[in-house]
Order: sequence, then C-alpha cells, then structure tokens
Amino acid sequence: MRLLLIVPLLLTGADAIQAQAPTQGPPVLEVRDLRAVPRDVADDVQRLFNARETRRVTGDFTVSSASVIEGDLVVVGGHLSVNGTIAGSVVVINGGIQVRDGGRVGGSVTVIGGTFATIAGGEVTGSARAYPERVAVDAGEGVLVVRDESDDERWYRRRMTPRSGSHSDLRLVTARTYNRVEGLPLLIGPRAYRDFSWGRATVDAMGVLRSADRFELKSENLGHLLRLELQVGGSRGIRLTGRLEDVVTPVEDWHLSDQETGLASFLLHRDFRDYYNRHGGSIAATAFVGDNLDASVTYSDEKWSTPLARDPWSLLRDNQDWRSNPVLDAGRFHLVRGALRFDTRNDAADPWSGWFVTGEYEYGVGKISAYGPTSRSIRDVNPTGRNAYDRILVDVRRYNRISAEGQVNLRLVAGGWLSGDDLPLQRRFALGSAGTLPGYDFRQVLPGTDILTCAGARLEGAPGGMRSPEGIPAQCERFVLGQVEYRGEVGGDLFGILDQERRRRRFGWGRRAEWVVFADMGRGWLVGPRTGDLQYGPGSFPGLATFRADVGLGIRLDDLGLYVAKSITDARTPLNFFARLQPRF
Amino acid sequence: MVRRALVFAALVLAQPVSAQRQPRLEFTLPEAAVLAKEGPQVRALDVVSDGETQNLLESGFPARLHFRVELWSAGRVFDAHRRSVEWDLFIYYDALGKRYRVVRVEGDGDRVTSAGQFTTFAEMVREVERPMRVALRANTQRSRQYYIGVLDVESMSLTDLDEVERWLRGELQPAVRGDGNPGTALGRGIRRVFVRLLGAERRNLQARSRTFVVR
Repeated sequence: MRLLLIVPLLLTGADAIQAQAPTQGPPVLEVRDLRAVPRDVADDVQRLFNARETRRVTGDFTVSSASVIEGDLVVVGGHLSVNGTIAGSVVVINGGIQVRDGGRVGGSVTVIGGTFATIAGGEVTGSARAYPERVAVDAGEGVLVVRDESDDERWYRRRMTPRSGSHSDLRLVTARTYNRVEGLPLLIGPRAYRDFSWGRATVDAMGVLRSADRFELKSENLGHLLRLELQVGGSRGIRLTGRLEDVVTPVEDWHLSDQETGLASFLLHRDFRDYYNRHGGSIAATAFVGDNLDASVTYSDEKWSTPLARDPWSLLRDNQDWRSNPVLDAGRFHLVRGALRFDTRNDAADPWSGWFVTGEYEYGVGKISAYGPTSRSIRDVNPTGRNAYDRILVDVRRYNRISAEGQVNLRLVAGGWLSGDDLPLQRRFALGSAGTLPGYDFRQVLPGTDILTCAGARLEGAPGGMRSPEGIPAQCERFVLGQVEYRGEVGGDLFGILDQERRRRRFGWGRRAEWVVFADMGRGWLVGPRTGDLQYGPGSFPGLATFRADVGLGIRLDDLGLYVAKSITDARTPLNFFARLQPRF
Repeated sequence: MVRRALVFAALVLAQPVSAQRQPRLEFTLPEAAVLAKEGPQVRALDVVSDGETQNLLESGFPARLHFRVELWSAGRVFDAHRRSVEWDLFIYYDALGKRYRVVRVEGDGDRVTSAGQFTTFAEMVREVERPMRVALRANTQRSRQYYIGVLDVESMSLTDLDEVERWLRGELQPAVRGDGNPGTALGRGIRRVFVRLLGAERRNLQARSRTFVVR
C-alpha cells in the first residue's frame, strides 16, 4: 500500500525552509512502501518530518559540545555527529549517527539507510532503531519522495560509485611505463581505505618488481612504495600523506608522457628520459578545492643513486645498445617542495579551452657523496660535498578556441636555479626532442655553444673528444621554452566562417582529423659570471637572438599525431619526423 | 628486424583496417525555427556493437559511456564556452536475469534512471544508439553558435592483470578453434595488452555540429 505523507521539507536547510514555507505552501512528501522499514516506524518518521518546529538539514551535520537543540532534528543524506545536546528526537535518512562522549539525545533515534552508534559516554534517552538498507530520496520542487532503490540504482551505487565504509584489495598494476633501467615495473601489494566522519584514511603497501633481467630477484629489480594518506573533507579539504619509497624516478618528466616514453622504449629502443633511484621518505600536506586547484608542501629525506641502463627487450633494434643512463650525483638530500596547480581545462586529455598552470619551488640541502661527471667547466665541485640550492619550475598553458574548427594554444615553461650552490644533476634541464624543440634531436649537442644540453662551448671544427659525459646528461641550470600551435580540422577553413550551413567530410577514426601548425622557441643556460652565450649572471636573461627556434606541421588522427619539424635557427639541421600519442601540450 | 616490425604493424593494424564500421558520434540540430527552444540530438553509433564489448559485458565488465555536450558561440577573437551538459550511460549484464541493462546517470549520480532491460545484445545496442535529445538550447543571440560533443567509452573494473589474463586465457581461443582469424586475434591481443600496460586505454570520440545562427 502506498503511503502518502505531506511534510514541510525542502532539502536546502532549515532556514531556507522556514523562510520559504509561508509563500510556497507546504511541500509534498511521498514515501512509498519500504521493504525494510515497518509502517509504524515510517509513521513516526512522517510525524517528525511534518512537525512544524522540527529542524531539518541536508548533508553532514555536527552538534558541537556547547550546542543545544531544543526540538527534533532531521538529517537527510549526511552523517550526524552529536557532541552536544538534542532535547528532542532524531531522524537520519541515508546517513549515520554517532552520539559521542558528552553527547545526548533526549528523545528517540531513527536511522533509515544507515547505522547508529554511541561512543564512550554518548547517551540516548529514548529508543534507538536503525534500518541500514539505503533508500532513494527524490527531491523535486517542494516535493520529497522516499522510496526503495530500484535494482539499477542499487547496482550503480554498489558497483560504480566510490565505496564508502572500508575496503581493501590486493593489487597488481604496472607503473604505466617501460624504460631501459627497469623494463616494465610492476607494483604488487595491498591497498586499503576506511571512511571516517572526518574523511578517509588510505594505506598502500606496494612492492616493486622490475622486468629487466627477466624479473630476476636481485636488489636492482626490487623496490617499494608505502603510503599512508589521511584526507579531511570531500570535494575540498586537506590531504596529509606520508610515503616511504625506493623507486626509480625520471630526471625530467615534463617533456613527454609516461605512455609515450614507454612506447618509444618498448617499440623503438629509444628512451627519452634519464633516471635516478630515490630511497627515503616524505610527508606532505595538500589543500585542494575540487579538481581545479590544489597546493601542497612536501618535506622529504632521500638518498639518490644512479641505476645503470640494462637491456630490456624492445621490438626494434633489440640487438643494439641502449643509450647509457648518465651517471648522476649520489648523495643524501633533505628537500622542501611547494607546488601549486590551477586547472580550468575543459578536458585534461585533449583540451580546447581553459588554463593549466603548475608551479613548483624546491629547496634542497644535503651532501653529495659522489659527483656525476659533467662537461668541462660546468660546475664547481665542493670537496665537502655539501650542497644547498633552490630552484623553480613553472608551466603556464592557455587553450583558446578561435572558431568552430580551430584553436590556438600557447605555452610558456621556464625553470631553474634561484640561489645557493650549483644544482645537482638530478635537477638540471635540457631541451630538444618531440616534447620541447622537435626541430632538434633528443640530447643533441650543438656545435659551437650548446644551449640545449649546456655541454659547453667549442669552436666548430676544433679538435677534442666527447663534449658531454656518456649518456649526455641534462646540464642546464635555467631554461625557458615558448610554444604556440594552431590546430584546425582537416577540410576546415582557418576561422570557420565558411563552415556555416555546411557539412564536412569525416576523417580520422573517432574524431575529425586535425592539422597542426606549430612553432617553438627556447634555450637553456648556466648561471655564473658571464661566459660567452652559455653562462649568464643570476639577474641576466639571454638575448632572444641566442634562442633556438623551430616550426613544423602535422596531422592528428584521433590520439595519434604525425609531425615534421625544422629548425629555423640552424639551417643545416635536417627535418625531424616524430609521432605523439596526445596533444603536443 | 624489419620483417618483425612489419609483422607487428600488420597485427596491430589488422582490426582497424578490417573493421567495417567505425565508432562515431553524430549531431542532429533541430529545425531552424526551434533552435533556441530545443537542444540537439546526439547519437553514438557503433561504440558498443562489437563482439569484444559483448564478451566483456557477459564476463561481468560493465561499459560506461560518458557524454559531454558543450554549446559554444563565436566571439571577436576567441570563441566562448556557454554551457555544457554531461551524463553517463552504464551498460551491464544481469547474469541471473540474462538481460542487458542500461542505466542513465545524470549529475554527480544524483539521478539514476533505467533506460531499459533487454534480452538480446542487439536490442541493447539499438537502445544505446537511439538519438538522445540534449537539454542544451542555443542562445537567442544572433552570433554563430555550435555544439561540441565528446564521448568517452570505457570498460569498467578491468585491471591490467584481468586484461592480460583474459588475453592469455580466452582471446586466442576462437582463432585456435578456427572461428576467427588468428592474425586478427593475435593483433588484437597484442594491441590490447600494450594499450593496457602502457595506460592508453581511453577510447574517445568527438563530434561537432555545423555552426548556426538563431534567427
């Protein structure tokens, strides 16, 4: 039998209800028969809902220890925490209630779709009853319907929404990349989380097993990643994270994505990153507002060492040697890092509007026990090994749609040394290759003054051996890179004016194909007393005439982009062809 | 080495080349007279109609189709994003009832409604491919406007291990039995494993309406 209840309730809080009720009239509540709730209980709930003096709230609600609510209280879709006094009765729908030490409920407690608990000295004078089976609550204009969930709603809530309560599982996942130092890293171990009234606690304990050398169980193939995270709040709040790690980390991971780097290694025997081993721990605090804005501060204590390139399998050129992983600095560092991220892009994977800004400041102090080799006169070596530095890295991107068919995207990336000792090799920069200046090869040492990897200066044709150590490490202390691109649909016109009332042929697999025209400009440099065009004082900026630039064009078919780029500042540099699996930036 | 690369390329490309129908998203604008009163119709075609999706569904892996439709208008320099609407279609197989079920979810899971239960895969596909009217009306301003649609398709609950195991266990079986092309099966398996292991599993479709002016 259907039970119809008329109650004065809006799901916007008590104040709003009381303010609107006189002008809008009483809202209508329809409670259908509930499988798990007896009729008399439903009647009690109805009476409480209908009572004019009842206070009603939506979402989580806390009665603080100093608070006294004189009448009855209804909470819909949230957790009620009682630390103070509620003189009347309480109803909670689709939520839980905890009466804590010092908390007191003078009347009865009824929970539909949740649980009830008293903690320590919490007290409920009247009866307490809880029916955990969740119900559906449909809110309309002045109408509230309480009913059983349908099969589909129950399936969706149980299978597709983040699980509340607690959960644990054993995970086997890849690190989503493939490289010449590890092969394919696998992460194996348990993950568990538990929800509390204040947020969620998560624990990961993952072992790292690397596929290089056929998964042989030796120290180079083993690592770990332990994480404890406490999140306070939901869509906005604070996250506190502690980590213990023994992992292989890329020196610069902003050039190409993990997937592109992994595929290039696996398929083409080309690894576009250098790696070092981080072994230590960190604590971090992150404040976040939705998915758009977060800021974090991290303190870490790490030991750095350099893993050697090994010989993981690749599809092509498998019989060739891999590029050496450069020997980087070894030592121990204490790092304080501040990071900010602001993201208004409409689509993180393929944006066409919005801002994406990231900034990172790092202060590091430590002792280098073994300096990695560098080019000549690149840095001063402190005999004690003590090193203190700070550096910054900023990436600003703007995506603009200029017509139905085209967009213009801009990016400025800059970073480098700010003060202190010379940067460790793990914190230096290089430009060149598909992710930065595609008109130049990856780790290409330019003749004359090398402003892409900062391997020093040498007159063209001058005799001498290798200018850069094996593996050609990134050695620049500062860099700046500007990128601009126009992307338009194939078959479209530049500004879309002629598109009106026309239909276009389709190209591509899932989307229309796009053609891309781009230009990039940038360089790296060292910081110190002015030396030619390679080294500039801390307050100086290289002249634009010294920058390297390229132009290019390409076509994007779904996620696959095929491009050709040509340097316009080095005429003899050949055309470079390359592919990307996502937008250039 | 070259031969190995060619064989690999052939295997990886085998399915896209041989596939007869490509997944796509289509827009249909309302009649000119009611452009400001009705939203466009969106239709996702051939996104869940393949046998691979059917196998995944019947193995207990639901499919999720996430739609986002945006209304844009032309500006002096840059175009402006006006409004957008998002919703999901979830498809799962009820093994006990032997039915495919389609669930529509709007907002942040605030509104969950059934879009039907279907005894056959083909009936479910017809429902998913039915044109959907989007509640996103054009502005009455006299500037050029257009809609952009994005559809993300993914199989849920698959882990890397699931995928590798499925491939090793089952994907080659039809080929071994002679029900399918071994090259295609092998290529599909290799591609899927790479895609999964290296994290590029996203299937994304985009479409744009023609531009229009409300008169």
